[in-house]
Order: sequence, then C-alpha cells, then structure tokens
Amino acid sequence: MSRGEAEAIIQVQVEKLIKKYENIVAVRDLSLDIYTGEILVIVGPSGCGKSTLLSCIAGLEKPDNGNIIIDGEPVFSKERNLFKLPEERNIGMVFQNYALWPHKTVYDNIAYPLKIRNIKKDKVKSEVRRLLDIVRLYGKENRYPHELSGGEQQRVALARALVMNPKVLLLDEPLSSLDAKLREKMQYEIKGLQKDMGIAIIHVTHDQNEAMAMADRIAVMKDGELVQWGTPKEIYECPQTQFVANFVGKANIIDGVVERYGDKKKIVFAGGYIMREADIDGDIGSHVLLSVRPENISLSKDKGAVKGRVAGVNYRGNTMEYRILVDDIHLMVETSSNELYAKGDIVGCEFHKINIVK
Amino acid sequence: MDLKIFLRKNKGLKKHTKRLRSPLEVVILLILGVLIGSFILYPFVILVMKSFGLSLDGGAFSLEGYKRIIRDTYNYTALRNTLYVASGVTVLTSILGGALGWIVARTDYAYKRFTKILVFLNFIIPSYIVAIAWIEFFGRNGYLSRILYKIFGLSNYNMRPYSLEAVIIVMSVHLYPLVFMAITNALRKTDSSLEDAAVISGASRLKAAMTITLPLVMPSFISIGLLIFSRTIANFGVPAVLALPVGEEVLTTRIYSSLTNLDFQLVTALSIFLVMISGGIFLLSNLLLKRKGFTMITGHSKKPRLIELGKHKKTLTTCVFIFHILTTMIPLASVLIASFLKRWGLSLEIKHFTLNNYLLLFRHEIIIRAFGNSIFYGLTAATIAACVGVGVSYISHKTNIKGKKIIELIASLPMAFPNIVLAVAAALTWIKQPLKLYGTEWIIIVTYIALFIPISIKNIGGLMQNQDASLEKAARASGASRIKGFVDITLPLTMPGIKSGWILGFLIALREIPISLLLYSSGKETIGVMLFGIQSNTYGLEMTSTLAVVIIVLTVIGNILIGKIGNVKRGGGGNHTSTS
Ligand SMILES: Nc1ncnc2c1ncn2[C@@H]1O[C@H](COP(=O)(O)OP(=O)(O)OP(=O)(O)O)[C@@H](O)[C@H]1O
Ligand SMILES: [Mg+2]
Repeated sequence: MSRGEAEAIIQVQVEKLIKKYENIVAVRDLSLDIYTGEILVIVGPSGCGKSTLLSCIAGLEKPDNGNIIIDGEPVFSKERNLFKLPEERNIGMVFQNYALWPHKTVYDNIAYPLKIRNIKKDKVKSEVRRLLDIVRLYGKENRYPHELSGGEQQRVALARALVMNPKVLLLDEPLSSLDAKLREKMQYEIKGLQKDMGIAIIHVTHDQNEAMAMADRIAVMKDGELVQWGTPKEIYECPQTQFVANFVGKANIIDGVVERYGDKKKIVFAGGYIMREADIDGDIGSHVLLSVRPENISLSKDKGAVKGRVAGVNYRGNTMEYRILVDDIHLMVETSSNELYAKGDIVGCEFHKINIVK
Repeated sequence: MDLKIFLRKNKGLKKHTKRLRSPLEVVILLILGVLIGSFILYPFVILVMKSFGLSLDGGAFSLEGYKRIIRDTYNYTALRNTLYVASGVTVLTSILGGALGWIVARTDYAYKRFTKILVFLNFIIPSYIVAIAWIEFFGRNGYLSRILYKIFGLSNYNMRPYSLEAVIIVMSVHLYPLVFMAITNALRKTDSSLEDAAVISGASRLKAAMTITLPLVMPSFISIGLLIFSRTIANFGVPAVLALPVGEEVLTTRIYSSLTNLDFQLVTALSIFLVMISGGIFLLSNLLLKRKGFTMITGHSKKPRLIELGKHKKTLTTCVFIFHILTTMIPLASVLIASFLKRWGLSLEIKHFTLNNYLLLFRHEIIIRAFGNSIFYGLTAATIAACVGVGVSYISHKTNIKGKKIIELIASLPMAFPNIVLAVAAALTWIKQPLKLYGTEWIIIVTYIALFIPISIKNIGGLMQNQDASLEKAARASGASRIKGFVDITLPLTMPGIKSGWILGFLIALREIPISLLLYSSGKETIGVMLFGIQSNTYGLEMTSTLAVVIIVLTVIGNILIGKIGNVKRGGGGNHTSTS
C-alpha cells in the first residue's frame, strides 16, 4: 500500500523510548512512527532489541523512558507516569514461537480474546468462524495445536491475534521456524490479509529477504537504536552506513581516497578512479568509505580504471559470481551469466551507484 | 490337539528359542530370575499368603485380618489418622512448595540461589531428624519454653509437642521440596509467552495465570501431590516419635505395635492394605498423567519474563526468609545446639556446652560398629541391586525378549512398598528354612536389595534409554561380539548410574530406620537403630543430636558427590530420600 504524505495517519508513535534490563540497555532513545495500513519491517541482528521494542509497544514490558501513543491515545508516558496494561491496549500479537495454548483446541485458542471479554456465545461462534475462514482453517477447529503443521499453527496464532479486529498487529519473527517454501507463502498471505484489513503491521525479522518481500518501509536496528529507515528501495540503494549496507543485501565496502580532478574531485582506489566528478565534501587526500553492490560493478577486458585478477568463479544459474582480487582485498561481483571470465584473468572494474557510507 | 494349532505353537516355540540364542541373554535372564524371584517375588507371595491366614505349610484361608482393620477401633482409628495426616501433608506441601516454586520460577525475587540451597537442604535432611528437632524446639525442656521464660518470664509452658498435627508439620517440612522442584520444573517448561499471549488477548495477569499457566502445571501438581500422599502414608519414624507417645497411631506404627504382639495375620493384612493404597495412588497418578499429556510446542524458548514484585518485593522476601528460618534454620540449629550440650535438659549457658559428645560418639564401640554395618549393608546391597538394575535395564531397552515388561514390573514392585512392609515381609520370609537369614546381617542386606532394585532400575534404565542404539551397533560393526559390545560401550556409559547408586545406597542405609529396627539382631545394629534407640539412662537427646549432625554432614557430602558424578537426574521423583 502506498501512502501519500498528506493523508497518512499515524497509528503508532514511539518517542525517545528507553528500556533497560538490569545492566543492558535493550532499546535506547528510539523514535518511530507507523502509519495506518502499512507494513513496517524491523530488521536487525539477534539481540538488538527488536522483541523488546515490540513488548514495549504491546505493554508486556514497562519502558524506562519516553512515550508511546497508539491510535492517538497515549499508552505510555514517563512524564505523565502513565502505563496502560497490555490487556487494555487491543493489540494483536503473534509470538516468535506462536505461544499457542497446548491445552486448548484451535477453536478455544481463537475464541479466548472474545470469551475473556464476556462476549455472547453466538457472537463468539460467528467471529471465530469468520477468522477460521480468513486463515483457511475451517474444519480443523477441534484439533489441538500439536496436531497441526507448522504453517497451520502459525495461522491459528494469526487468527487469534486478529479476532478482536486490532488496529495494530505485532509480528515477532513468526516465520522464522518455517521452512523456506512455506515462509514465502506465508509472507504473501500476511501481506494479502493486511491489504484486506487495512491495519498497521509491525513485523520483526532478522531475515533481510523477508524484509524486502514484505515491507512498505524497513527500519534497521542495531544495539537498541534505529540506524536507518525508509522504503526497501531506499534502504537497498542508498545505505547510509556500512552496517546497513552489509545487513541488507551484499555490499563491497571500499576504502577510497579523495583526489583532485580538474576543479572537481575524484575518488581513487588501488591506483584507479572509482568515481570521477564526485560531488563530495571530503578534503583532498582524505579517506572515504564507499559501498557498492556486487551487481553494480561491471567487468571488462579493456575498460575500467581499477584493475584486478579473477580469484574465484561461481556459477549461480542466472548470474555469475566472481571474486576479484584488487590489491589485497576481494571484491564481490555479480554479472549476467553470459559474461565469462576464467580464474586468473586480469579484468577492469567499473563502479556504478556508489554510496558513501559511515 | 488340532494339528494347525500344534504347528503354530511349535513355530512360536522355535522363534522363541531362536531369540534366546544369545548366551548372554540366557545367563542374564537366569541370574535375574533367581535374584528377583527370591528377593522380591518370594517375600511378596509369603506376605500375601499370610494375610489370608495361609502359609507354605498349610493353614486355612480366612479374611479375618482384613476384617479386623475395619472392625477393631484401634486399627480403624489408625487408618483414619493415616488419611488425615497424609491429606494434611499433601495440602500443606502443595501450598508451601507451590507458592515458593512460583516465586522462584516466575518473579524477580532476588535470592533464588539461596532459597534453592535451603530447599535442597530440607530435601536431604532425614525426616526423623526433623522430628527430633521439633521435640527439641517445642518440647517441655525445649528451646521455645526457655526463650519464653527468659524473655517473658513464662513458667507455665505447656505446649504439647506430640500430636498428629506435629506429624503433619514435620512431614511437610521434609516433603515440600518435592513440590517445589516439581513446580519450578513445570513452570520452567511452560513458556511464559503463553501467559503473555493471554494478556495481549485481554486477560489480566491473574486471569492469565489461572486460565493458562495453572491448567498447564496441574498435571505435575497432581502427580506430585499423590506422590507426597503415598510417601507420608509410608513413613514410620516421624509418627513413631511424634504421635505414638501420646497414643495416636497410624498404619505404619500400628504394624509395628501389632508385630510386637506377634499378631501376624493382622500385621500382614495391614501391610497389604498399605501397599494397596500406595499402589492405587500410583495407578491413579499414571492414569491422570496419561490423560492430561499435552505435548508442549517448543519454539525457541526464551528466558521467562519475570513478574516484577515492585513494592511487594520487600514483604515477600521477608516472608520467604521467615519461612526458611522456620523450616530449615531452626531445625538445623536445634540439633546442632543440642549436640554441644553436656546433657539434654541443661539450660543454654556456656558452661554447659562441650565438644565431648563428638569424641564420645567416635569412641563408642557400638556406634562405630553401627557405622561399619550400615556402610557394609548399604554398599553390598547397592552392588547387587546395580547388577540387577543393569540386567533388567539391558533386557528392557536393548532386547525384545517377550515378557520384559513383566520382569521390569516385578522388579519395580518394592517401589509401592513402604519400608516397614518390606521389613515385615522379610521377617516372615527369612525366619525359617529353606533360607534362614534371621539373626544374620543378610536379612537386612537382602531387604535393602529389594529396596534398592527399583531405584537402580530407574537410574540405570534412564541412562540406557537415552543411549543411542547405534553406539553399541557401531561396536558390533567394528567387530565386537555382543558381550564385548556390552562391556566396552554400554556398561561404561551406565557407570555414572552405578556409582551414584552406591552413594545412594550409603545414604539410605544411613537414614533408614524401620527395616533395620525390625530385622537387626545383637551386633548387627545399624545407624538407624542407634538413632532411634540411643536414648537411655546414660544418653539423652544430646547424643541423638550429635549422631544426627554427623548423618547430616555425611548426607550433604554424599549429595555433593552425586552432583559431581552428574548424569543421573535428580528432582521429581527424588527417590533417594526414601526414608523410615
Ligand atoms: N527478560 C530479560 N532480562 C534481561 N535481559 C533481557 C531480557 N530480555 C531480553 N534481554 C536482553 O535485551 C537485549 C535485547 O533482547 P531482544 O529479545 O529484544 O532481542 P531481539 O532483537 O529480539 O533478538 P532475537 O532476534 O534473538 O529475537 C538482549 O541483549 C537480551 O539479552
Ligand atoms: Mg526476538
């Protein structure tokens, strides 16, 4: 779903959130907005605080500082000493391990949120039916969780999270224990559901492919902080830091030197230029870090100012993967599979779509 | 006979003999048959026969013994008292152990390690010693009366330390660790995100705990409750010191006093009755567990989310500490202080303290001999029980001999037998030819063997079951014979179980009272006999306490050793406290 800046409604607003455990700061000074009808995917390495952030939004953990506003209503505010309990927030959440109750049937798992609110029996029945329909589990409502496959369990958890029609759905790596095929299928299903219901989803994962496939926006987390956020295209094409470049997709990180190029500047690496007429701030002679995606390096026998030797060749079906040794560093290069070079060939490299990173 | 049936039968026979071809299996089966048959099955049969008025040389069948359990007031009261005490202990331990277990497993209470150590201490201190401590604290000359006198000048202290309630409290102090361990275990296995999911769904924390966590730990709760119930019923030492002196009897003490009246039919009927209660409870708990067997879905389970006690933290911590003081520290301090008194009954002044008791204890010839006896009986029985355990486990887990389930069942039979019943069965069985063991140490050893075999099967069987079958197969593929494969691979891997079996044998022999009390003869006294009967004109509670302190120290050392050997799971069943 695309959103026009003007009409975007903020569904969840997180401001300067801090959460500490004893001596660990799991979330530090993090601010983030999630808009109605979008999927925001939070990616980051294990232990960076993704689950903690979700737990704070859900109210399972009490943050140490900051504000959280859901649907225009503050649910946590340090200054106002406000903390709404999780049961008062009407949020849907799917846990990393699904957290299906093993002693309750599929039906009772999905019906629990309704029953706990003393909703009438007929209504409970019809609502559970509706959800069973949506997640396509009709006919399996009397099974126990352990009698279901991984994908089915996942859908029960989803149904339970959606049964109260929450405006916000939190997904904590719900797909991580599924095999690759099923995971891809579920990615589509969740995206489809979200389109139909128009709710805001915050989806946590440490799988960057999943992030790319599902996200309207991606937020990259590291050590409890957001390092960059934007559309998948922005994140992939313009990573601002070495970490983001490496975490989302593959990247070559190159240490270049700024030199004079007429009245402009150029960036030089291993005796050749990478970028001419560079529009950069760096002083002449200073070092800059550059990130270049493997598919943005082209190889040729005669062109290219940076020369290297082919050190490894890998056939990948539709593409070729080369390792090019330049000075003493290896560059990863991906080309179409009809460009063929042999190990030991000397090739020239041309660089496109270069990003200066921190 | 129909030819077809005959042929089929013969075929079956052939198959059978074929399966038994391995000489190892034949030898093992033979030895096991002899050992289990004579040490477990034979006494059991004698016991059952005697209860119906029968014996090997005849006698007339009658139900008189059983009728008298219901008919005679004495017996009936004992039965009622037994059920009262067992229910009381079950309820009290469930509350204490359950609450403490929940605090440790699910809240941010700060002194978890400390609590676990104290609970474990309670777990290993023999119940009889807790009973001694109870008398020393609440008795007429006890610490409490002295404290009340010192502080408030109260001189008319008349709290009665002897009662069924005292038995309930002392047994609870001894048994609540079982509940604690079962509950912390169950809670640890119950992912806390299950409760989180309920809270997200709109339930309050309390409601989530009641609807999600409680039902999930209920099976463990019930089965440990049943275990506690049958453990209490089986106990002899505690009611013998805390209830018998005021004429209150339970079934175990009733058996003991009927035995001194040589009323064998009643004794055996009472014994069988007791076994039936324990057996019934055992079956019940199996049934319940089977029905409620949820398979937990384990994703990647994380550190449980701990409930923040917040402003209640101080109050709760104080409560836990008071609990520890009452249940662990006061009993330990009571026996420790008494062990330094020149004579029990003297006031607690420096001039009345001495180290002499300990010197005296180790100069006392009978006590030294009792230590030697206990160690010898315990280790000998543990060794033989280990052999049986290895044999039965091997047959159970590594072969597919027909009837292996029955062998294991019979060998595990003594588990349902209170120690005093084992003692009664032994007394009746070994008193005359063909095997007259009465009057020798072997009657005690043989009974210990029966007592240890189920424990050894549990330990060793557990280890063998977890062993990958491919390990022994690999040895055979490398050219080892079946026997060699067993000796080189399976046996070393079960060694931790055998070693800890020896220590357990030693520990049980140190604390066990009813078996040796009923079966010892002059010169064959054990530590249990000494502990039970050391008080006389020359010695008072101070010597009992000294002995108790030594036993506690040895027990702690033994348990540390078992922990070091590792591999053998403790907790849950906690079978090595099988006491008096
Ligand atoms: N209950 C807790 N007590 C103490 N520390 C915790 C607790 N929960 C999480 N942490 C710590 O906080 C940090 C962030 O944990 P969190 O679970 O949010 O990471 P994550 O990004 O979700 O990791 P993963 O991808 O492995 O799920 C980690 O260092 C973790 O060890
Ligand atoms: Mg996580």
